Amino acid sequence: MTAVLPLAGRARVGALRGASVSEMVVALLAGLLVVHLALGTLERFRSAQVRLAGRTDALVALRVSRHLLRAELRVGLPGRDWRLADDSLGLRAFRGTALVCPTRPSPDELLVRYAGMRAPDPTKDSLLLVTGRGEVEVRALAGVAATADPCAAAGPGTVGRWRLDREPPPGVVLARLFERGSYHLSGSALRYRRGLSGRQPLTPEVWTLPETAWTRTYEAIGVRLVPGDAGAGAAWSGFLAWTDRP
Amino acid sequence: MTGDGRPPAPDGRRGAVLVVVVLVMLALTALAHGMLLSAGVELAASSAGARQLERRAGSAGALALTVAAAPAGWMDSVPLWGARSVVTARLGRADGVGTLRRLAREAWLAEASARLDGPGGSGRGAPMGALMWIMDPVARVADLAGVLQVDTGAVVIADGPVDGVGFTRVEPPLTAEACARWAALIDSIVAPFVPSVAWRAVAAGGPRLGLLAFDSLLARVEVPVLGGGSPAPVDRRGACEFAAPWNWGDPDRPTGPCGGHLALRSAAGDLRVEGGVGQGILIVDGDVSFADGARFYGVVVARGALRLEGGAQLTGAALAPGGAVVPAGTSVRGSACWVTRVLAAHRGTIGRAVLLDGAGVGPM
Repeated sequence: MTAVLPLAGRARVGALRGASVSEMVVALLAGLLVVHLALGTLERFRSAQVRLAGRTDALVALRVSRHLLRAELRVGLPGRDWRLADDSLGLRAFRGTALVCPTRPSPDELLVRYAGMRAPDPTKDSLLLVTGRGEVEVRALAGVAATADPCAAAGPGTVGRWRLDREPPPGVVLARLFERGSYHLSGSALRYRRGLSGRQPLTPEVWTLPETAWTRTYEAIGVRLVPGDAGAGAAWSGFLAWTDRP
Repeated sequence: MTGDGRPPAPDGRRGAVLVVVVLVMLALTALAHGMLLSAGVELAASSAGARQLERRAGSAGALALTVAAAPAGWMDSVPLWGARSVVTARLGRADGVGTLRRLAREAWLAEASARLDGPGGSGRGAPMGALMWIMDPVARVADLAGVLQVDTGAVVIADGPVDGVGFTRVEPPLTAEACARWAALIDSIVAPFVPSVAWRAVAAGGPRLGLLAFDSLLARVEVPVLGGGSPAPVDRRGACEFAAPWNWGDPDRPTGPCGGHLALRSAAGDLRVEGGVGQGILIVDGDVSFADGARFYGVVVARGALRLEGGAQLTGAALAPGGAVVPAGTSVRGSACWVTRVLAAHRGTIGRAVLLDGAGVGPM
């Protein structure tokens, strides 16, 4: 049986002839446009994320550098405990403080109550011994032992026996634990070198050299940190420590 | 055919654009999520940094106030290794506390830490410290090498008595009550007699009182005197005139208006005391002379020499690098109690802290 289309239906078929092609073209164009916009947005998102990550790294590097260097220099004396050379900042990096208990286990030992950022390590640590009159002497830390001996100096920290390389001066009231180290602005990052070991990066590698450098004025030292990527933020110059204290 | 007469789309292309768009949207969502995460981490890190800075600022404020706090009488009662809270300081959200711990008679460790109020402010943190020298009157007395302390090689002519025997005795016009506060400590750490004269090398800057340099001593004195004069107690309607330059207290009438006034006076050049009576501390940037029966009780710190004449008497101790002349009829008597008493009276000015080993010690 043959279906007979109504007249109006036949007329519509005639009008629709070729419409699917143009619809497809329009659909493809619209699709391309959407994909283009989407890819463009994706690209912008991606670059924004890269910039954000770069800026985050730069901020982290700035924060770490400033905090670390200020904290290290604040507890030292220029000339005696730290010195700025052309390319590095060499210092006694203080890692803890010990109150010297009045009891003396032996002539070359001290009974101390120690508190600090890490445990004492005789392989790398030395002591700056301070007397009640402000005189200081340096000794090497030769050994550390835990003890149950009572210490009259109450407070936080743990009591221990510290053996020195030789007898401490009389009247010692405070022992400051330190390691030798140096800070460097190299390889686009702040690096720390303990003793003669390698330079370990402390921050992300975000700075451009030689613009990033130590700065020195008549009475203070500072640092100028210039991010390598312009989008990672502006350069920062700041004070670190006085070089001429009364 | 579809219902509306359009031919169906080929199977391979059905919804392809939608799939692409959905994939792109997923990628965008992932990137946005990563960015939010990154920003969140950065915010958390910077907030932690800000909290740490706030805590450090609170701690530094408390430490500065502790170091600047004027020494007071309560310090005598703090035993070795004892500690006492001195200040609380509020800076923004940070609540700082400063403590003084005695490490030796004159060595103190100022310690400070801070706690944050509000979110993220758990526990005390950012400990800081400073080692200080604070003058202790009894320790200064114990450190005296002689009643008269002069520079190495200085000439001392003493026909009159210079007496270091009975250094710790309490004799009139001093009463036992006036020294009761330090009596036990003096008996335990001060020798009962000291040499009459001690020759000790003096730095170019002049004699020192412990770690206090002469110039620093001079600068801390608020009331200067010039040239010469005769000290005498001055009171108005029963109230002692402490600021009168030549009112150096009234040792003969301990219960009188100026009986408790222990003067602290300085002279920018030579000083001549002609008669009169006084008690306290004299810082003289030159020679100092006592004449015409002048009597002085306390401490004399002079850059030059000490001369007594005409029956003058000095009770206490003197640091005079330039030497001393004590002719017959005059006398210098050592007294631990007088020295302790006058130094204790002025610990708020000349006893202010001297920082040792830089501005701070740490980490703690």
